[in-house]
Amino acid sequence: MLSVNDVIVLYQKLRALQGVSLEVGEGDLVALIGSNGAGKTTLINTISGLIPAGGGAIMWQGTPIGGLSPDQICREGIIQVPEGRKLFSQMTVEENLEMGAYLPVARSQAEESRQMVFEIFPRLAERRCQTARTLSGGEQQMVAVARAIMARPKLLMLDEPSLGLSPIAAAEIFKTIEELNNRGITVLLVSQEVLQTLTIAKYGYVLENGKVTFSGPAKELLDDPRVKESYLGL
Amino acid sequence: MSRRCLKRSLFLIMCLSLGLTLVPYGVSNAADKPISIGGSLPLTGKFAETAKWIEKGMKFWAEEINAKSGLLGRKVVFKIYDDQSNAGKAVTFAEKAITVDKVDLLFGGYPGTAARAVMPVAEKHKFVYVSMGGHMKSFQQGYTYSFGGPPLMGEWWYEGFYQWLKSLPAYQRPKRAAVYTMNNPIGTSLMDSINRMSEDLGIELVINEKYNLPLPDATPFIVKAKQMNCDLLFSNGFFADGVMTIRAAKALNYNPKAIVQGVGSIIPAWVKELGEDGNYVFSGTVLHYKLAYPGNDKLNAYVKEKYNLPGYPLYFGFGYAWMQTLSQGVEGANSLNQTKIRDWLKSNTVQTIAGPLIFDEKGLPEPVNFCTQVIDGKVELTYPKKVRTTKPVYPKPAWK
Amino acid sequence: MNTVLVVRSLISGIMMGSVYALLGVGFSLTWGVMKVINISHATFGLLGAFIAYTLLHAWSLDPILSLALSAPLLFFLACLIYRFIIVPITKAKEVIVASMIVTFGIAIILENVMLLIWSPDPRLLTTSYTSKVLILGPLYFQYPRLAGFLMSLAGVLVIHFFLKKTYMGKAVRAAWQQPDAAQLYGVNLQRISMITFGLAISSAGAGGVAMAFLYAFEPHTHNLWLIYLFLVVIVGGVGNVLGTALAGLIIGVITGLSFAFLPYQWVNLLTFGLLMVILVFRPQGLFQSEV
Repeated sequence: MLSVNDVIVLYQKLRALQGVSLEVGEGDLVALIGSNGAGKTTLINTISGLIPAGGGAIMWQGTPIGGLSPDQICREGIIQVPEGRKLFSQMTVEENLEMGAYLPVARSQAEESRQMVFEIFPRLAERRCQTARTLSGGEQQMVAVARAIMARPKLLMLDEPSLGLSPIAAAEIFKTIEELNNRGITVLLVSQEVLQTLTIAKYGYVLENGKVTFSGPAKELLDDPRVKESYLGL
Repeated sequence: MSRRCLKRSLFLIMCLSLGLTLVPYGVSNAADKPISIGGSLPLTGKFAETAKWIEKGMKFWAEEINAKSGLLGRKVVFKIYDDQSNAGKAVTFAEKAITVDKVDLLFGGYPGTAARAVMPVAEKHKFVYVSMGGHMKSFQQGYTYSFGGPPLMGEWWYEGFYQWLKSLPAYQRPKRAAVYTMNNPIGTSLMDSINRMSEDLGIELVINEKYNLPLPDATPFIVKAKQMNCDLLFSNGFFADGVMTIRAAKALNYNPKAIVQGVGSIIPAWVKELGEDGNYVFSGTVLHYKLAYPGNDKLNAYVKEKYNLPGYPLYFGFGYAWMQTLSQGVEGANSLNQTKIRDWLKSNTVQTIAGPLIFDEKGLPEPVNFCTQVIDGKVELTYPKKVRTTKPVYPKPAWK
Repeated sequence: MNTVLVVRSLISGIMMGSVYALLGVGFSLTWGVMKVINISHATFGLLGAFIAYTLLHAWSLDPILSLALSAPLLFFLACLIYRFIIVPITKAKEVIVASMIVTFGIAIILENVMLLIWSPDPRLLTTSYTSKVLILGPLYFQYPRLAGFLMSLAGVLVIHFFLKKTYMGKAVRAAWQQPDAAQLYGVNLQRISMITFGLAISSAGAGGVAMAFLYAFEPHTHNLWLIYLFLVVIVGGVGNVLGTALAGLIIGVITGLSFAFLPYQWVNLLTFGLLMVILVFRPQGLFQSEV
């Protein structure tokens, strides 16, 4: 569905990504793990069109999408839940959801999506008239995911969705991600919570210093001694 | 790097121009060479509009004199710099005209402060400088080469108006004045005649307030003047604030016996833009196209033909009048010696379109000021009687 | 102190302040949303005033109705300027500084064009209702001020509801709060910015007409109006539409009260003193940023 081939990204002279390749199949839940500064967010933003690629190709359902602007990529159904949530903090929960369904296709299905969102996050239904910045961290993350659902994603990319959340809230988010995947949404999940991520993922990639160092089915990665040593502290 | 380049090129230019001035002028007979008259005008910037008329007035004078036998039998040419409405640049150009261009005469007269700034330059180089000056203060510095011929003097602005009031029977005069004055040197100078002459006529300054420009709102002025039963309103301001005051007076149906407006009502836009509401406003002037002194008809005929105007604009007249004064000084002294010109001007009468001028030791004529009133959309001379074009309308008719 | 004088000054001041608000609201938006401090904002307002003046004299078209012509024209002009002048500078490192320099240039060019077309003579917008007054008991409402006030009310409400109730308006707010996230959800930043700029300039045109009801104007007047823009926008908070409107009212109240209670000389001192105090102690403006 999405294939990233040998993508290079340059930050000034520095190579933030030095030839990364990655495949996400339809219906998959693919994990991208790695430490801080490994280039995970750079990769996600490159796919989303926020950062131009300095080389390589990004193919989406068989056509290249490199060079498209972020709003055009959004039109393709590739939706990102950005790191740090990036909510429209002075808008209400309701308005944040509306903005998720900004594009016409999503807007025409907004009512349906909204029901689905409130079904998944009943708490947001109670908070719908509150300004986003007045919510707790966990609730804000729910809004971020909910906003993405409103956009009717074909591919949902989540960047560190559990960052800064309490363990309980983090667990809830992971559960939700799994559920969304079960409903048929393809997911690319970026996280440092390696154990939880690989537990729900089907396939995993490990990114180090802008390169994919290992990849494989999630279960195999969990058992890999190098992963255990570097990322699970075992 | 560009700064260094600039410096270098400036240096080059300076060398070149110095070199040029050192090239001997040759031995050609001085009498064949035209008389050069130099200086600057604010041809661009804030005062551009007035300066363009000054320039036209000066050039009309030159055209006229060159068509005859010239000045001292020689043609005259102008060397006019554009000081961009900047007093500092005006000073530089005056210096340049005198020391670099070595002009024979200095022309003068800029609106606002530049004339005041050029006066010391003229004094330093002993050049006669005929201009409007920068109100009274500029003539109190002890300069002996500067003349107001005629000057534009805020301190004298209402001279004519008060003289006219004085000519009325006491019971007809207004008793209570509301005075609103912009807080700047021109406004302050306008206060001079009010302070000097009101008491004499038994007029009490019930309200005497200053305001800073820009004036946000004139409504409160009128509300207060109306409440205090003032029957004379002075609006000592420019066009924008003057218009606001008049409009507020109409809106609040305030009808004093007379409304006097400082310098806003002397520009053509006053009658053009205000229309009927601008009528009956009193003001003053030192120069007016309807004055009966010799020359005015000629100027009016010229602007009628060339610019299709009913009468010459004020600054056209100023440009012409200053050249009249200067040239009569030259002819009287029969020389281009500046000191001789000065001494002749100080001891003789000059005939200008603003009337005969006799200069005192400050370089000023007797206080001249004519009372004007806007009647039927035209600025008419209403006092003194000998220059009167129309009888004043008094008391002011109520707003329609 | 006399109550009638105070109330009359107050009414007059509030109506004046509301007009500043209409002129300022678009300035606030471009500054807040696009990080463009548009020095030429008031110049476009002045252009609106001159267009109204010309149409009034040519076809006796009411200045308020003339906005139906000038607003689309200004919108179109703004879009062109956005596309060809503003877009390149949004790539600069210091967008705010670059925008000030570039729009200063636009202001000068526009001023000179207006000088060529309309000459430097001062103008007044004089209509049949210019000097009419609505008298309610002891209170006086001058029609031109009332017209300016109502235009301002309408203008501010339209912009407010556009931002709060329409999809596009919400996209403008979203783009301001989180430009990246807005793009990720399909907002075309350039298009949204162009529309914002167009709207801002059109509203400036309306503000210019309202200003022209109160004040004489000539091609240089925008320099003065610009000062009022900074006043209302900084007091009200950058990007805050209702804040700008409230700031206009506050300035009106201060002006009215100081006219009533203090020597007239103090009026500008007080209003601009307020500006300084706010810049020092509450640079985000008096009101919570709301957009």
